[in-house]
Amino acid sequence: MAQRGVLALALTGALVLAGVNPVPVTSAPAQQVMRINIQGEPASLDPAKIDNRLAGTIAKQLFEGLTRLDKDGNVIPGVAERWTMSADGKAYTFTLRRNARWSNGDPVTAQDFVYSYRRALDAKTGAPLVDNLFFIANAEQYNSGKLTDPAQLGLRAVDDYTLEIRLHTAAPFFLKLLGFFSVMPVNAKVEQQNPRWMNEASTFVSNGAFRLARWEHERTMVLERNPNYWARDRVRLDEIQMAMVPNMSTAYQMFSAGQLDITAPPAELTGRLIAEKKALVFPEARTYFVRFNNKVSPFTNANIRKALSLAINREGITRRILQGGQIPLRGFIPHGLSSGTGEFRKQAGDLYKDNDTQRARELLQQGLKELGLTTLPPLVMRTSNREIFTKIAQAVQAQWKQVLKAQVTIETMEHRAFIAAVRRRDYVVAPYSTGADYDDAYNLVTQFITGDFYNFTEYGNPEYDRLIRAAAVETNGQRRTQFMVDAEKILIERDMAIAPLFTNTQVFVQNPKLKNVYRYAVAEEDYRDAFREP
Amino acid sequence: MIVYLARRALMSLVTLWLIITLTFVLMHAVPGDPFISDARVSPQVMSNLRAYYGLDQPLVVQYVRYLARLVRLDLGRSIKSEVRDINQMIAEGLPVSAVLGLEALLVAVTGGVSLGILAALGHNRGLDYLAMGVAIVGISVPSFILATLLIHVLAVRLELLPVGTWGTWRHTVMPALALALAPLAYVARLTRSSMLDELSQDYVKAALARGLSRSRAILGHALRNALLPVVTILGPLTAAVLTGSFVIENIFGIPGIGKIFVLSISDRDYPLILSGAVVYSVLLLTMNLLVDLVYGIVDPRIRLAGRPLR
Repeated sequence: MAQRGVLALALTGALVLAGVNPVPVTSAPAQQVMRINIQGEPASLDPAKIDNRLAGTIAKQLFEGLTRLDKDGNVIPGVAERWTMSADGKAYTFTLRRNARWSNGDPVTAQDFVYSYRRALDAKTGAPLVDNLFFIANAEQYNSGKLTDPAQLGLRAVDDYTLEIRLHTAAPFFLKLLGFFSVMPVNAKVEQQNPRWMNEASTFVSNGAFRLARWEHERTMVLERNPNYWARDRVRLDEIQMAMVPNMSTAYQMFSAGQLDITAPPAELTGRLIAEKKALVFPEARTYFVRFNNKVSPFTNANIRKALSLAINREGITRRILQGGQIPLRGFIPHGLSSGTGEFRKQAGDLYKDNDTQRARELLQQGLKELGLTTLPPLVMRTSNREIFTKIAQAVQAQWKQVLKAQVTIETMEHRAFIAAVRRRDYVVAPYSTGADYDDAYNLVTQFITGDFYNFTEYGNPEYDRLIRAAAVETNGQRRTQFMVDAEKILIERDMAIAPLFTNTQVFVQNPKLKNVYRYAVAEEDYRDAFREP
Repeated sequence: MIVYLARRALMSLVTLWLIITLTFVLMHAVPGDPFISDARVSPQVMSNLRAYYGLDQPLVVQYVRYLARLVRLDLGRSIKSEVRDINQMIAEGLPVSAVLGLEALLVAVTGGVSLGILAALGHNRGLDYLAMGVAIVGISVPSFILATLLIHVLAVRLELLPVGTWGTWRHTVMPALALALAPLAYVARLTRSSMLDELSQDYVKAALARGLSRSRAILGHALRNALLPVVTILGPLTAAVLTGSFVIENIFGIPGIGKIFVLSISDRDYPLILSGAVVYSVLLLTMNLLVDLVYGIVDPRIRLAGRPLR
């Protein structure tokens, strides 16, 4: 301890002598410092109010939920030291660690969790990702105001360190979900005394591996090791310094100049950096696809949909156009997402051949005949003005023209206006994306159930609906997986309701001295075990 | 003078109200809302969020509520971020944008006026072509190109300045230069043409004929008149540079308010859109008033209170 003090002193002295700028992102690294870019001021650091990955990543380092994930994505104990599950998979009893402490020294109790979940579920809180708690009994009813008594929620603090959670349905992914940032606890006492505690470093109280040391709005944020964290001895980073640089080219320049340890390179550089093995590529559980409006001709016809899907050269789009290491999909569920019994994509296999131009032409003729048409009518493809979507739209337009002689006009719209148009079904064909909130394929398959709120593609197949509903209540893991695998076959192989394109990726450049930064296809990065090699 | 100022202030308030009303109508006419996204947010949660931010109320109610808050000088809270009130966001961001803007303005005006005078004096000769060449480059090269070039040369190659972020004067050099180039070029062209106009006027010829040195005649007589158009554009220019530049702030990671004017719109952050309109309008109206007052000083022939010229 004394040694470190001396070292810090010497280092400060060296900095002063060297006339190095005191702004943290430009200073030479202290012994265990990690410097990252969070691209801008987080919209909120209140776990219940966060709705985006950047802020979620910060919250994940500051707070700890009942569970957390190890480096391979398996559930390990967090604040809960151990737990039991009932035979029907609907009731959990968590035993909390007696040495879990908030950064202000208060013990982390079962009451804190009950308070936090009730608060998130209260409609007045306006929590954007509260759906994640809807597996808890009566949660959705309480959130919608149909139930007003929070005591009827499936949440109970038996004593300070015992928490019971009852679900309305078995959810094999529930334990993983409890490590998600949106369900992390807040300190009930602090929250009741000062509802704006989360907006300044001086009033911020958290229970995770790090605490908020400094927050200069719009400029910088510094996390430091939380001395009250129960596993403080395994946390090796002294500080995480966060710059707020929105421009990825500038951030990359800062990385090149040694002022940042991790950053996402700008899109125009990813291709080269990946080829030179200077960048790390991680799959993100998000599928990019082309949405067909199944209620509008010619997309009412399955053979036409298949023809258009098979005519797409996914390999070409990902390798030559996007160049971000994206993985071509031959099914709907993205790579890296779990089925509950393993990686879904590996279990379900390939459902079609990419760039199958011959078959595409045959299917087109067959489909046209079925519709009583001789040629494909001109199509209008609507797209968001975000770069990745316009690139996809142009590539698909060219490929369909080349393979099927299809006349496609692209109509580019401002992003939110585009989403609004798709939601009111005001489109015929459009590139789109859908991502998982928790690590289970089930999260993505419900949006194609007949009449589902998110079924903007207007797909409907009773057999598909039956399989998904069966998966929802199945407690046997193997059978549940099989239901979902069979359902995907119907959705894609038989009906080709949409044309899947690729699994998205996250591309990073990282200081090679930095070790143990854990990344997941679904959850946010975890820096608890990270350290810098000397 | 006081009557004049009072009348102008009142007119400015009416203008401001019109701008707010128009902005309010337009932003609600744009499709999409703050909570729509490609994420699967349930209809239940959407309606919670709308209620939380008061967007479930009829537009008239929202409008009246907004004006009632604004009268108390409260810009409200952003939908996108609850961390700080908008008042606080502006109070912390405006000085940053203003420092940068004033620095750029100083460079633009001194550089632009000098360049313009040089060009006018060397009319249609080498110096003129050189100065106007600089001006054309300045107008045609977008600031983000210049910014990227500056970063590459001064920060990455020569390591003279920090790449980005904010803190010391060294952080302001590159963004101020990048920001200054376009207005500098504009001011230079304006100064040149109005200077040429003035130089052909009889009073300049008379002054020269009476034996005044060329430099006295130009700097003492012609320049003063030639600067009027420059003063005119200084109003809107100042308002524009004070409120920052989205592009420059984005590239250098500067905590100014330039981004409010761009991101609030794509976020459909209604209170923030209105705040941007209010702040910009107030600055613009104030600057225009100041410019009108300065006219009277630069050119005594101009009277403010509308008294007839004799």
